[in-house]
Amino acid sequence: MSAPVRLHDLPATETLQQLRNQLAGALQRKGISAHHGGLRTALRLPEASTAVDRSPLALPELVGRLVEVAAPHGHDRSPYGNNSSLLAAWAGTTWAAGLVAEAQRAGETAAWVLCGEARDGEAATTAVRGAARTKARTDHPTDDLTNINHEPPRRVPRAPPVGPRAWRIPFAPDLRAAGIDLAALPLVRAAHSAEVLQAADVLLRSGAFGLVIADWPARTPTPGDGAMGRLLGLCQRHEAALVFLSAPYTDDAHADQGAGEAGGALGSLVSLRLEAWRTMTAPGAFTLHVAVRKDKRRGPGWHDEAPRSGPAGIG
Amino acid sequence: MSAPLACVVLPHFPLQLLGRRMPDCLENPAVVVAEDRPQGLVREVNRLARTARILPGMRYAAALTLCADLRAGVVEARDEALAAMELSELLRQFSPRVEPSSEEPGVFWLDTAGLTTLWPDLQVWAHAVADALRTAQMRAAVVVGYARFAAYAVARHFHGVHVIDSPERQASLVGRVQLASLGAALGLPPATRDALALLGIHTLGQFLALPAEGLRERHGEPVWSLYQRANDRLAEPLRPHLPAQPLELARDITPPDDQRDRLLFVAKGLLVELLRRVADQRQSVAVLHLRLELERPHRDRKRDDPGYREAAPVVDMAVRAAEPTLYEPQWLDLLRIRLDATRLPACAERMTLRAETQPATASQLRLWQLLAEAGGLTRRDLTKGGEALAQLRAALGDDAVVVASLQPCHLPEAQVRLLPAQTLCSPKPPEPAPQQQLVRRLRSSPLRLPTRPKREPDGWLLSDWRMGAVVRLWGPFRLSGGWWVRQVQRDYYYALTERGDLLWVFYDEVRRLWFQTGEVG
Repeated sequence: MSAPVRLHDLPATETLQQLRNQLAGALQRKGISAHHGGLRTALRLPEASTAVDRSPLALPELVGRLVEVAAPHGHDRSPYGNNSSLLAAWAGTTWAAGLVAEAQRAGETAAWVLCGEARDGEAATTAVRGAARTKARTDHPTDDLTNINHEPPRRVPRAPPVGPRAWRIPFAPDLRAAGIDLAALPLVRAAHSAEVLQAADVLLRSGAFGLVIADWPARTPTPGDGAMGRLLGLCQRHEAALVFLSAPYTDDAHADQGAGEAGGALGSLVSLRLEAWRTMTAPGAFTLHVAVRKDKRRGPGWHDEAPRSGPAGIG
Repeated sequence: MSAPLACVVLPHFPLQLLGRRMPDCLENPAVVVAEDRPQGLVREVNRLARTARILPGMRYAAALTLCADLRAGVVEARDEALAAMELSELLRQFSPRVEPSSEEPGVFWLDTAGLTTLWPDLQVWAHAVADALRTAQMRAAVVVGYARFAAYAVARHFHGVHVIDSPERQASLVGRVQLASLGAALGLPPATRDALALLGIHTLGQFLALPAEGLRERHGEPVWSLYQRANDRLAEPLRPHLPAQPLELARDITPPDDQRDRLLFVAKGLLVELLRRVADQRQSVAVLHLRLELERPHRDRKRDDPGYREAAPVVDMAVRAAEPTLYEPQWLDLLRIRLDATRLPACAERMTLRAETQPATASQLRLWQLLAEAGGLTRRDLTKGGEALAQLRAALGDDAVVVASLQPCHLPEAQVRLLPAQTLCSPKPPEPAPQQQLVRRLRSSPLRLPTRPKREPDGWLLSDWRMGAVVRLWGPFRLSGGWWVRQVQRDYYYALTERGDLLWVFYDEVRRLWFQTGEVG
């Protein structure tokens, strides 16, 4: 680490450009090249806005936390009538893309972990759940004897699925339109939910990512507190945010399960649970709604709306 | 029609701020200039200066020739932002949800939902808001209306306090608003306003009677946007700002100590982290509060001793820089001087550092990042990120870690090429599109849908019956080509189902089959 450059040692300047030149010269004299990547990036920084996003959904508020973006739960808020579930209008991908763009604008690195599914469209874990449960029973015959606290049965280890995988990848032109640098957004294609947790663990453990978005498939058992606690610890240690998109697929089986609290699918270590959905206000014009259903810091109740246009052609 | 909300407009906001700073401006001709030099442009003019024929757009030197008693001052954008923050705090006493306008300083929208249970009626509430602002030496118009832009327009044109009792009354008031009354940011560009004035269009009512498409074609998107706003056709929900949370960090000092150098060392560790958090919020530190909790006198006492529950003695001190800054050495110097001058009666066992912040200027933020990076304080180690990606490739397969690259092709799946991600690079995000749009998901392989039957008594059902039938289709958007290799002829559609799914489907004319290529999420 080099010694700091003292501003009052520099000659007075009239303009910011002159100050930049003075700084570059002073830093060069201290052995830092003017072609240093970070310095060059800093010198090219665009005019930063002084506006502050103080909403509980801004990136600084999510640091060190596990966040779950779920589908709206219940029928009372349905924009399509009382006979329809709201899972279909889920808009977590759009919200997450905005968050990634915000992170990149702040100079943070981000990654997106995608979860595969069988080619026929069925969720990845469905086909193997029964087999895995049987296997778990036979592998741990003493579980019943050691369960002296009468806890519910341990969660089923997920066996790797078989067959070709398919991924639902965020459409890159839309991501770019949202202001995301695609080259700086690695997409990790995990085959199933266990690999999603593994990938999130590796990414966060490196300390090189400030934001990790992870798809969490429907019809998946709640992950164990051990794994989630480990991820939470990594988020806090490395000041990162882990956002689970727990309903990226239009599938209402997870709502029927009633897993977790208040519609959540990821357990009690989730610090912030959101519901994100969209409504069509006019042909081609949509509103993105985000409601906070659980917030361990501020309490639930926050609701935010933002206008969004539909893809070209809807209107 | 939206729920009732209130709009507070402080007319001539820079001039009012100048009046607060220089009270003699209120009784003399006064102007706000863009720069403090003779060639600086006049931005705002008070009534007395206008009487002296001084107009916005003049040079300050020219204005001074017209009026020798002219008072002038510069009100920077940062001053306006600070004043807006201060007034937001004031208005938050009257409504928990306050949104200061990001386009026009001095304009605030307030949520009035539920206030009638706390106040006799909204008329009393609106007068209380105006009175509070008057106490803060600000003149304001307060209007409670049914739509965001309508309330703003009425507040700009009709000064004072107005509570609009019905949407019909609001429409009638909006129709009488002069176009020239609207602000520069939220109103019409002057050239367009002059062009419309030549056609005899002076009020919002006349403006809204014009054909919409013609306006868009002749005057472009800004005018079209105003037209949509005035017709309440843009979804513009209230986006309130939350009150600022105090930025505070604390650390235990083990073992307790009263040595200045050691305390300064602890303070430095806290200060670096605190400045980083402050800069992340695009703020700058104006005042640092240092709290030292000293060793408790009852440490060696037993529980039943009378002094056991005495609070720990605390030493509070605050240092203020000449200007708000993010420059760490300056704060360390100030802390060192203050600690030198303080005699601690006992050893300190816990230190707390709290920052009072103000919005930082762009150059402050740039400078902070520049120094932080030059000092090797870059937050993320990209090399470790590359190693993590390599670990994932080893664990999940070589093609598991990719980055998307855009290709100049027509088919959606051909527009995106997934390339192996070998390293992690620092983000250089492009400018986002002016109108944010919903993000679609593209299936890595299209999902084949059942053949569409000729008779559909329950409507067209796609792959999953739970989605319900298709209620609306947008399309077809035809893509064809590739006949020289493998002919592609597809009709793309967006299908809205009863449940609300917005699916991206296509009909393959060659194979005569339907496929789902993605969905809007």
